[in-house]
Amino acid sequence: MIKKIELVLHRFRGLSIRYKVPLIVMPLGIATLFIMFIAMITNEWFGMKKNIEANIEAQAMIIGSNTAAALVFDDAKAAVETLSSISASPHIIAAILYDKKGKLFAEYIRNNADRALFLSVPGEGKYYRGNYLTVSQDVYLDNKAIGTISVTTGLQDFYTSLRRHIIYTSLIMLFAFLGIILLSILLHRLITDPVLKLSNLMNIISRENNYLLRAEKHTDDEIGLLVDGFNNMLSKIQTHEMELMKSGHLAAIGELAAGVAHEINNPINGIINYAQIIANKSEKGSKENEIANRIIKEGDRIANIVKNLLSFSRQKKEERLKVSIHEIFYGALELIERALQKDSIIIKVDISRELPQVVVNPQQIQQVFINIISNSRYALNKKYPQKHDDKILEITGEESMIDNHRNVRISFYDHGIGISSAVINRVMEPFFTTKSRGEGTGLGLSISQNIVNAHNGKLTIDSAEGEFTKVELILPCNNKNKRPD
Amino acid sequence: MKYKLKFHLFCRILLGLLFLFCLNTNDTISHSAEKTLTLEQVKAAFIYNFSLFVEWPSHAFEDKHTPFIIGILGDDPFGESLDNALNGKLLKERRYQIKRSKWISDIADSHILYISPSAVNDIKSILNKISGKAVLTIGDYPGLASKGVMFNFYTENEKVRFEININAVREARLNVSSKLLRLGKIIGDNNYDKKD
Repeated sequence: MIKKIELVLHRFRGLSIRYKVPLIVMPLGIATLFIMFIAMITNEWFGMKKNIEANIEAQAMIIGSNTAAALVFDDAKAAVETLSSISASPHIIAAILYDKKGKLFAEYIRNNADRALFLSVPGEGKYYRGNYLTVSQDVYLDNKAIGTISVTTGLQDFYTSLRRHIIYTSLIMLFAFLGIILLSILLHRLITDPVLKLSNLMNIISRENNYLLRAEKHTDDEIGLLVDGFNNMLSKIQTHEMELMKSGHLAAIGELAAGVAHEINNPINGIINYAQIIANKSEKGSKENEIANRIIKEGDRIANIVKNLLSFSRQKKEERLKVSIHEIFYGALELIERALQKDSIIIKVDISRELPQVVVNPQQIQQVFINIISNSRYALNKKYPQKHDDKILEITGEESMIDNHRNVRISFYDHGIGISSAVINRVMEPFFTTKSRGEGTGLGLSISQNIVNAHNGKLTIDSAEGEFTKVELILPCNNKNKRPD
Repeated sequence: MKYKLKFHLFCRILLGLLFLFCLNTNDTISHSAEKTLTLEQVKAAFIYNFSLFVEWPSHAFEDKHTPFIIGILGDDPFGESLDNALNGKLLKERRYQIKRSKWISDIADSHILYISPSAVNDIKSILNKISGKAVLTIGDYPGLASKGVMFNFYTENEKVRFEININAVREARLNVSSKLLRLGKIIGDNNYDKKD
């Protein structure tokens, strides 16, 4: 049995859902219709039967009562007259009156009817015989049974109308059945359409490698689950891609930085040394001395940048040190300061040396700072391509207590173009970017978020489109070493 | 199906037997019944049955327990057969009571008055005595109905039948069931003259 079902199912495997749905719906529909059909006909059958019985019983009662006098006064002729009056009912075939001894007293039998069929004295009750229904009732006078009346009706009309009813019901069922077929043909779209949509989307994604796309969920059923699972998978792929890109990026930066730093360090040392010689040899306050000192200062700056670059590229992920946020911040700023100055962005920094120390991976936090400041720079440049009084980036640091834990809170507040409320919830998503292609990877904030989370910190963004963006970074001072995700 | 067939056969046999039985009874029992039932017995039964198909006005009785009186004027032809016909019967809550007398004044309170053939000579004075009263008069002599007696027995093909003087019934304010009227031979109708 089970083998058979499996065989049938196997045959259907290649069948389109377009045909599977009708194949499932139609037998169900037919079964339902069939049951309804049986129920309706049965109901009709019993209803009509009851009607006929009640009708004949009433007739028998009337005739019985009308023939009571004829019975007791032994007037068979009058009784026959009364019985004949029943001929007005076309279905009645026979009405027969028996006296109290069961002797035939009077009879009316319609022409052409087989007399022998009706001549029996059944007790009180209803009797179906072939095409006839006989109802027998006692006739009472003064509460005494004085005889029996037996009325027989033909059932041809009953069967005819039942047959007609069956035909009508069948027609209705046929229409309902056609309706079911039509519906089931349309119904399969409910299932196939979302599936086809999903498969189209999959094609687009694998063609364009665009993992930002998401399938739309319209229902909460199994297809909804499928869409959820699909979207979930996309997110996973996206994150994975990001990780890959991130490690690739960092490795490249590290290699590059190490190479560049080495190449630069030697000449810079030379420059600084020679400038030192000039400074030593020249008279203090002279122009040469001043220039030489400047060369030394700028040279130191270059050396510092190189050092920062080197330390930034060194990926010692697990290493967390107790460091001053002030130190990390200025290390980061040094790397990006020049760019900010070039874009004439006014930087207002208020980060005190007295801020409590935090346990972090300095390189990673530096990366977060650089990412955030880069975003601010981009937003400010977008709003003010030229120099402007309001082209300001304010960075403040303060100590804050959250749930009795000491934290350092650093806010980056820029007067740039801001973020529209439509996308503000998505800015942390990997690969989400408002920048045009080539300008941004869409990874900056997402990586920063990952880093901050790994430090048990918090990164929040508040913005008004066209007005400002405020990024707040909260880092706990006593950080239990949580592994980064 | 087999069961149904058996049932059918059974019915047929039963039918046939009953049919035979009916024929039989027609030949023997009915004859013997007619032999055993005398005309008087049949008439006695008719008198009782009349009381079932006629309604008397309520003023004909003092209260609901007042007995229903059947008076027999003149010689009583029934003997015990009328007593037997009424034995143990009640009309609603009334007992039947039979009064016999030669004088109409003795039994003028009857509800049914049977006028024996022996009293027919005085028919006019009898009817005068009870005129205006709700008394159902029953005669047993040819031509009495046309003389103002309400029901009058006669014999036809050895069967007891009765005539009905419908006007007399109406005058007495008796309500005779149409079922009964259908059985009797209606006499007079509108032609009856009260003063005749």
